[in-house]
Parts: sequence; structure tokens; C-alpha cells
Amino acid sequence: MKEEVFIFSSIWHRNRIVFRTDNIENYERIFSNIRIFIPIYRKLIFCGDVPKSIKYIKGANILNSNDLLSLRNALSDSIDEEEYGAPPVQILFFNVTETIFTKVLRDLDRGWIAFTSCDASILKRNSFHIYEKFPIKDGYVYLIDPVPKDISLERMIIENINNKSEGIKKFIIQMKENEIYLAFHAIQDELKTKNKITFSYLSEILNMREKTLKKIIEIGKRETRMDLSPYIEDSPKKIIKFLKSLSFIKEVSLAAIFNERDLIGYAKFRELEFSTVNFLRLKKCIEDFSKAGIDIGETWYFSLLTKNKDILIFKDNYTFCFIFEKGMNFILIISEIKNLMESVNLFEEKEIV
Amino acid sequence: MPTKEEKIKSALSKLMEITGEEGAAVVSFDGLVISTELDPKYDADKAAGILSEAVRTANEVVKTLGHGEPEQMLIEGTNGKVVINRNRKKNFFVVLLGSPKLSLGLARTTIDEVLDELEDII
Repeated sequence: MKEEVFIFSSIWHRNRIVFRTDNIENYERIFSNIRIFIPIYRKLIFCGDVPKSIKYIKGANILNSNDLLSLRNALSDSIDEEEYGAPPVQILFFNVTETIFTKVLRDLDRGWIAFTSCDASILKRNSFHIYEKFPIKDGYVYLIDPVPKDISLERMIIENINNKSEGIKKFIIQMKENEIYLAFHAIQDELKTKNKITFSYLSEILNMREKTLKKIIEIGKRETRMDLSPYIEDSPKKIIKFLKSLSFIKEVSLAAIFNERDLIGYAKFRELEFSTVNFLRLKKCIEDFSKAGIDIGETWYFSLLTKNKDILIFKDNYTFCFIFEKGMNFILIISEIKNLMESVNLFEEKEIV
Repeated sequence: MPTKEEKIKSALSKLMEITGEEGAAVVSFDGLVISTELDPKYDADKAAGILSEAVRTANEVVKTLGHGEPEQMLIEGTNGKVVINRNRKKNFFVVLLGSPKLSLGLARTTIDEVLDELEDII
């Protein structure tokens, strides 16, 4: 299981992988085992002694040349074109010799999988660092790049597809990979129209956890060389701590925290269709009270009681907004939330993000 | 025989007995003042318009949640308190303004009673 997660994550992150086997007839079997992990939106480029059955798969691009320098340049160009919007490539090089490692693959920093009979000493001789090495049927896997730090999503997917048919496995993996790919491009587009963007905002509009969003940014960077992370703000640590602690109050369905109009904290504890912009609409109405001489002060609570759910907005240094399930005494919930806020010092001065 | 206006004022007077109150008003859902017992420091027409906007917004927000309509709105600030209850049947709401001294518990129950009474009058 662990090894499968490593291979999946490495392929998804376009890390360099070497499959070593002494029998070239094993290439086909190994390829068919890992093919499921290669995102379908990637352009497949096959090089070397490509097995016949693989040559004819849909969308296969065969690139071969006896002039290894030209071949390296062609592969390098394909990778470079990704920066200009070309689909990311996945190079699959079969029967890689030491010369090919030296003259072609050593200069390509990502996006290739090599099938070879060369052992680890040859890789080391070519300045490849082996971060992970583990056996597979009839051979070994060498991971040339470090395994990504957070592989919880990959682990979860591998656990989910355990004992499922090939079709279901393919569906689950490809659906997630495509979702992440589309989300990256959506974020890129969103950044073109907004001066400021927060992970909480993206979490709400894309309906994804912050952890998944970080994965999107990481994979997007590997596929396009574009690092979006400096343009997206993290939630302040205190806010994250507070949101985590809210999970202990079972009545809380949704929590959103704003700094002025920026959503800097967001957590959804139940399935709920509700845009946090609604909180800002309500806040504006309360603030407008002053226009009629109704002075409630700078710090206030607003509660809106309905038949099945209650809405609470608390305006202090930040604006804290909640939706609760009806059940527990509303006053008690507010007091519990106040205690949580105090325990993480939320009432102190604003943290610089 | 008291007039309709006198009956409304009499109902509202119950709210005037609560410590910390600063006035109450009956406002139609579209923001017109039906009756007011607001402190003269407030611009009643303006307040009615702004408060009805808040009620309408709350109504829309609750609808997006898919859970009926708002029953009660409470605002508790450092300088003052506001309680708003809406009567859906007759499309009006009662608002009670108060200082920080206003007891919200008493205000909530009294406003419920007043709302019931007004439903028969309006």
C-alpha cells in the first residue's frame, strides 16, 4: 500500500521515477500497472524501445532519434512549452541505457519515467540521488525526487480504490486528478480578476479543504512552473486554531471569519449550500443602523433565529459568522464560542497575515 | 371605543415599561411607519426604512438557507440593543430599541405578546 501511494504521488507530482527490471518483457506489465496514475490530460511521449502494444495506445506520441542531443532538446522543449500553456507532458522512456541517462534524462528535471535494466550504481554515477528504493514484482523502483511531504490525499484515494474494479479505480483517480487540474486553472483565472485572494475564499468557492488547495498549488507548480502560493493568503494561525476547536461544538454547521470584507477563515462542518457573502449583506444592514441614529456601538452580536437554524454574527476586531443547528441553548453556544475565542486570544490585536 | 391607532399605541406601551427601552415602532414590511413610540432622537421614517431593509435582507438570507423565514432578530452592541420580530401573516414587524440595560429575555417575551395583540388589530 505504502509503495503504491509513493508511486501514485510521484507520478502525479511529475517526479522522476526509474523502474528497474532485467527482463524488457516486464515493461509492458509495469506500464499497464502505473498507467492508471498518469493524468489523462498529460501528453504522453514514448521514447526508446517502446513495446508494440504501448505504441498503438490512443494519443501516444513516439519520439526517437539516434542523435541523443536532439532528442534531449526536443524533450526539453516539450517541457518548456508547458509554461506557455501547452498540456504537461509525461515522458515514458523504455530500455534506458547509461548513455541515455547521461545524455538525455540527466538534464530533464521532471516529468519522466524510465524503464531500465541499469542498477542503482549507474544512477548514482549519473548524479541521481535515490530518495526511495523498494522492490516490485521482477524488479525495483527508484524515486529520484523526494516523496511529496503531504501524501494524505493520495493515501486516501489508494485506500478508497482498494478491491475495486479497474474501471472504478481509473474513474476515482482520474476524476480527482482532473478536478485538481481544473481547479488550478480556475485559481489562475480568479487571480487575474482579484487583487487579493485567500485560501478561505478558495475553499468556499471551490468547495475544497485548504489541504487540497495546497495540493493544487503544488501540483500546478510542477506542471506549469507557475507558483501561485505567493498570491494566496493563508488564514492567521489563531483563526485556524479557533476553527479547529469549533469542531467540538456539534451544533456548528458553518463558520466564516472576515477581516473587513476578506474571508480569512472558513470551515464547513455540515453539507450546506450557503454563500458567505450573505453574512456581509447582513453586517452591512446592521452597520447602516447608525444612519438612522441607532447607535449600537462598534462591537456587537447579531442573532437571527429561524425554525431550524440560527445565524450569529459577532463583530469585533474581525467579523465572526456562524450557522448553527437548532438544538442546544443558543446562549450556551454563544458562551462556548466566546470561551474558545478567548482561549486562542482572538480578541487581541489583529495578527499580521 | 378606542381607535385602531390608540389600540396599537396601547399595545406598544407594554414595551415602554421595560427598563432600558428607548422606544418601539410598528413598521410595515415595505418600510412605512404604522405607529411609533420612538425617542425623538431617532428619525422614525429613516429608522423604519433601514430596519425594514434589514428585515428584508434577513428574509432573503434565510430563504437561501432553505429554512423558512426569520422568526426573530436580536442585536446586542456595546452602546445599545435592538429586538425585531416579524408578523408574517400581516406583513409588519415590531422593533424595540434599548440601551445596554435592556433585558433581552424580557424584551423577547414581551415583544411576542405585543405582536400577537397587534395581529388582531392591524
